[in-house]
Amino acid sequence: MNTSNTRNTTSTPSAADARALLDRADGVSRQAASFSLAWLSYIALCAGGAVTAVGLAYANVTDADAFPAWIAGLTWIIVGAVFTASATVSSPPARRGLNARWGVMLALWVILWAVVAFLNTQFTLGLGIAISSGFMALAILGPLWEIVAVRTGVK
Amino acid sequence: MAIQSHPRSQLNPAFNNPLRFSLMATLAGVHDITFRQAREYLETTDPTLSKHSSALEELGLVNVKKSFVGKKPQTRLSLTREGRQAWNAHLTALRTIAEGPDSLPDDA
Repeated sequence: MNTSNTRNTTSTPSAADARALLDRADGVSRQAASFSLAWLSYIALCAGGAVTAVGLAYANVTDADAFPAWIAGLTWIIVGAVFTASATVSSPPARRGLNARWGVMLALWVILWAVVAFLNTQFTLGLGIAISSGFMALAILGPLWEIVAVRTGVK
Repeated sequence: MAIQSHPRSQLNPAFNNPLRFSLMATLAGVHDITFRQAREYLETTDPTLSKHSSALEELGLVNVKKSFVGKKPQTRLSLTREGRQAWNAHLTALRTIAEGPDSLPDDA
């Protein structure tokens, strides 16, 4: 993105100049953003949710100890949370509106996690798999939303 | 009857410089960007980018946030609300000019 040879825009631009400036602004804006690595941590959070949901459902159905399911799931969640901090620091510039997209997707994750945390004693294996599928859907939807935002430049 | 001014009067003189124009375009497309990332993306030097980002900060158009990542200082740049409004107004004026003479007022 070399800006050294571009013309100074001090004088009133002609229609052609204005179009060129608009094209330049659009190109510079579009290419400035990349996929944020923070979404990798969101995938880890969703993996933790999915593992916990299935694990707790299985423990519920078989009367097994639920502790391993919590440990397995929370490990993924802790990894995701820790990675978020480092990912946001080292990540390339994210498309404008990342906070809004992240907030919506995290709210959806919290809703599903609340179901797992508070209603797991009611889980059948089918319900556990359904909740787990919900987490997997979120794991796809969040990054997909980001990819669309990066490519199209929309929030 | 309201007098319609030529859209050139709506162009923001703060964005006349090509680097400032590109910096504003960059910031308009991102959540925020580190000083180093902006310098590399715009293919410019530290002093030049510093000079122009400071000028835009003084105008209240760009937010310059300094912090530490570990022991390393890091500067992040982003648009302020006023900066986004000013940039959008600038682009709107350019679009009006780009539409050609038919869209301009008669006394232009």
